Amino acid sequence: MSVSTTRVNGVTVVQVPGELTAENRGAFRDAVLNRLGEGERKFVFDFQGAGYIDSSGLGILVSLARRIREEGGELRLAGLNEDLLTLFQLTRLDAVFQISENRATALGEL
Amino acid sequence: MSRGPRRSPDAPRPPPGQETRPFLRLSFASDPAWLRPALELAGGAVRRVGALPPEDDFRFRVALGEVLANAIRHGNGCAPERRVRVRLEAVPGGTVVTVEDEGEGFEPGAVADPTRGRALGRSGGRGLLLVRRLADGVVWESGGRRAVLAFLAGCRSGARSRWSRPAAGR
Repeated sequence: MSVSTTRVNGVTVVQVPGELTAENRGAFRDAVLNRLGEGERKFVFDFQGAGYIDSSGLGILVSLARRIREEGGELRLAGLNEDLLTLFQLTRLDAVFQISENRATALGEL
Repeated sequence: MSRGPRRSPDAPRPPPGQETRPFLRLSFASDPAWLRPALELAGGAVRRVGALPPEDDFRFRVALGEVLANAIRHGNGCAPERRVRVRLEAVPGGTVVTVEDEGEGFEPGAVADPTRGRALGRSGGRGLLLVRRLADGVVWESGGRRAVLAFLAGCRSGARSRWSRPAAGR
């Protein structure tokens, strides 16, 4: 699985796949860590088009958020649909992540 | 994926007169590759018999996915000779799903709450929480080797309204 990343005004936008699960979390992690290793520090994970995430997927997001923070970076999540927002609220992860309504909003906030 | 496993002797039995017939039975080897097909089959069967409305698709899939992943990975340890058995039954207003593995079992009450303290920042430990919060009822039987989940149509459609208020404790 290839993970799409783009640079927008100094921010790395990572497209979250339609499903983020134990199957593909490794590829997602590697894509983000590669960008982090190249010196990029501002990230938006764009969930537009993403519809399903399991506890493994949530776990990799928590892990990546920690890594980005440890490197002095910033992360915002954007474009989560109502179902995905529900998961973040049920797990209290909405208190861990900065969540923006959409990509444009997130870019404006970084 | 074969169908029609025999019901285990110690499986819970409904009271006389309230027996239900499964509308789907699955039995598969403990390979994570079966997780997605099992979810697709279960979700398709639920839609086909109309056990749950489409708005319940997401929570049904997430909760069942976590239980199946637990059974495959933690229960059976991905041992191919150990099987996971799934049974879906229609009940008035919804469906009951039973997932059984052949592992050593576990104590659900011993799993730490992942929403509190330092656990909130850990990468794992959220699967059981999702099951408990997204199903309308869940019990673990047979020492944790069997999970019985109940989903009632529209019961958690209130999840929509959850967005209108902050999470408890915030």
